[in-house]
Amino acid sequence: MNKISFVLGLFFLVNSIFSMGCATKPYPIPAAYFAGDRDLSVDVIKISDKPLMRDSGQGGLIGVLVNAGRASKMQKIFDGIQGDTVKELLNQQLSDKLESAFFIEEDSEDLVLEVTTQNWGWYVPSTVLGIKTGSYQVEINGEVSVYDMQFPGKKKRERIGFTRSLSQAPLGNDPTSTATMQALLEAMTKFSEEVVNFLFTERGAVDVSATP
Amino acid sequence: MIAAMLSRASARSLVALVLTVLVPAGLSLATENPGLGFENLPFDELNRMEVRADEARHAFWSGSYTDSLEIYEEITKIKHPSTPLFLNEMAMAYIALGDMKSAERTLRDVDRMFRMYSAADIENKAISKFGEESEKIYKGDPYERAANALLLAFIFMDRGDYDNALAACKTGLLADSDAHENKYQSDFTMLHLMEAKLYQLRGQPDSAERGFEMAREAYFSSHPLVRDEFSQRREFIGLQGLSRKERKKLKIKESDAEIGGKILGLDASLTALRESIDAGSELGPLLTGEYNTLIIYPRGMGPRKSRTGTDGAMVRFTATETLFQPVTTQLDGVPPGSTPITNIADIDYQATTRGGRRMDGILAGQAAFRSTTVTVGSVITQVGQNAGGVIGLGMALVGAAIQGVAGAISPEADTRVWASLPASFEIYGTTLEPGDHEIVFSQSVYFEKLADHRITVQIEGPNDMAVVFAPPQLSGAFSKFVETEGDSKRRRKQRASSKTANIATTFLVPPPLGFQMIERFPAVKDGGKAKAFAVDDRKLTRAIQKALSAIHVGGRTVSHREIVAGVADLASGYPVAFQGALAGLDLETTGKKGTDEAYSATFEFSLVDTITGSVMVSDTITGRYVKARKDDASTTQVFYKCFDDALGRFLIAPEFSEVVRNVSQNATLGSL
Repeated sequence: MNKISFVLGLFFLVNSIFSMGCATKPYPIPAAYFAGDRDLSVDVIKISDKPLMRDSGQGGLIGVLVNAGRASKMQKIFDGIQGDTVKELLNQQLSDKLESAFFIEEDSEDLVLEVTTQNWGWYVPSTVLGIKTGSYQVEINGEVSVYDMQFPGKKKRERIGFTRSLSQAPLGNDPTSTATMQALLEAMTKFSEEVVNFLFTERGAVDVSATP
Repeated sequence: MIAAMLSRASARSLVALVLTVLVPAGLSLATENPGLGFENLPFDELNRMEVRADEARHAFWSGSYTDSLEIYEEITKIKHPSTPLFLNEMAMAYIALGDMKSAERTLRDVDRMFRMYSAADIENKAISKFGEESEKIYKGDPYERAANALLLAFIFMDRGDYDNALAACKTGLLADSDAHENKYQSDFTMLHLMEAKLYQLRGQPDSAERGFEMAREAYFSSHPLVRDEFSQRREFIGLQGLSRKERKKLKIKESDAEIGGKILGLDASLTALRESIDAGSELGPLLTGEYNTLIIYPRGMGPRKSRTGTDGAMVRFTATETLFQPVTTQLDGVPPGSTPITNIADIDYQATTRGGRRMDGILAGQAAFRSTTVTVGSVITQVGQNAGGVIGLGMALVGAAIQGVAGAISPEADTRVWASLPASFEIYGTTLEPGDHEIVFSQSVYFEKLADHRITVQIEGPNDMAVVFAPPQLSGAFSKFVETEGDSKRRRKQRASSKTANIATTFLVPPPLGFQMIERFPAVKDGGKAKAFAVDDRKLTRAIQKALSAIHVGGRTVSHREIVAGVADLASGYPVAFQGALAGLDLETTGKKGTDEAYSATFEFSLVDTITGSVMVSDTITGRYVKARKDDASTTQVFYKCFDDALGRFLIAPEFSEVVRNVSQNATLGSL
């Protein structure tokens, strides 16, 4: 285990030197972490309290005004769903998918997966003057990092995996709150699947022990 | 001149006569068939009914069939475009209650409605004459029409009405095949098997033999080992039919010869696979007709539709892959001699394929196939008739900005679906001696056993048939989040609490019941905002473990999958299970100025004997939390506080303590 940690440490040191100052490229969790019994906790550390609207950004000032009108209507459609609801759902969805490889704990001292959402809410494809060119989409956009909290060395907490994802689900043109909720769940499921599938890319390299 | 006047008078009389006849006739036509007899309701109203229907569906899947029927009766008082759908759903509730007469009546009503507007000329009239209203009429996908016919066939067979049963089978087979372009026959195996058996019962052995051959063919082509390759083969055949321009659009680079080669390769593979399938052994008496009793097991929940594509204009099917606790059976006091046969009435498979070829979804009212659409929402190069859903949807402009009401029904995409159908029917066929026989079905919700369903079957003579339905699986009783548990391999480490000293006994702790993915404390007043929250089942089970540990009781968490896989194995090690279910949520304002919020969540907690399935102690407890104005706890955190409050009060109840004492004493005696 110590040798593996040393090699991993060297890898990350070199990686961090070469990636200093650059936007971080996504990288999956190394294969070694899938061997043996590892604990992992999931934490959504940043999420906006309210759903946010994003558009194509081509509408100019008039587009902003037009979309502002749409925004208040869409806020009502989300019907009381706030950031902490999305946080719990994300936590749940990610944990369900991560459980195939790790023991999910509440406060793990071994591995921690942190989610930082840039935005969640809806996207309006629009063009000049805010003309809507397609149906609303529910979307969630964020970054996910996995940390080893027992990493050898002074720092201890070392990032061992990273990825980004933007997931959308169609809402139609005039959605009801029921349809919105379903689309939100779908977008979160897609987000979780994409994230975990990428982070687990190297899992196949290890002969994971059978489920007890 | 008199002649001219008479002539004018005659002409006027004639005109008057014609008008007298034609105008009322025209009027009566307009009132007799305004939209084929359906009330013209706006999309808004139809969507509101869908919301109400969802409550009925939830009641159905939770086993409250009478409650479910009450709601359906309310929303089918008038005949409107969604009536056929709701009547179909009612039929499953009647079947679950054993009321076959009412089930037959509703299924026949739906069949009549389906027939009425499926004829091509009527359809054309409907589209041109009745416009928008006709777009909303629910006519059912082919698999739903076939399922309607299958259920009718079962009911008629049980009643001894073999002629009508045969007619129903033929209706189902026609619905499932491509009657318009004759591109494929039905692959609904059970309909073929039923047809063959009915020919036998009618004394037509040659027709029966042909029917069994068709059933064998259908079974081969729809067998799980064969399905994927069969579908691929049909896709390649479809590609061969495309023009050069279409292939270029779809970026298909293979030549005709290459595609032909792939088809030949698949042919060889399919031949080998067919030889490995022993239909006789797998289908048993169903393939020979040597049975006089059928037991029908609805398994799982049928497919749902959701929107997809950039404009949400395409509808695709999503299957619920979660496993639920099976219904156990006793036939004359013993379990049946073999297991029910699968893959002969696979509703999920029928919904997602056309003639064995997998669909991508339904786009503009027509089947859209994999690899034949450039991007979702644009070109369809393969069209299929009978794609179902809303008539006239093809007239809706795919991708255009249609301002309609989007929800279950809209001009964009109709996501209505027969939601009380199971994912499949599994069927057990056997021969019972003449006389009375008792069949007992038992259902459980995790470790708690519910009341048995008892049915008496009478076999009167050599040609008598009995068809019995097992109750549907109670998927509605379980929380929605078990559906995301899916096929993940849960690795549950037993927490240290179970190994702590002074642990008198250990309870099993299954996932909590009755939760949706998103729950809501209701709005305090009309027009106010509900407070939504999501629940992590792990946090709830951990809270239960922690609370049990504080009173020296261990808690071993078990997942939904583990329980479904085998209750008996788990029960052998642990005599008691701690089960909890959400029963209600409420929110009121309180405090001197009415600015504080009083949240309450009601739970049903039970201790269940895992061996017998009986409830040892149960209570309904409301947990409360008052959130002051300056309190920044989130709605989710507030819910957990309500849960902790309720749980704490249950654990200090004298009845609970007595059970723990008794169980601990038994455990101690057992270990001596």
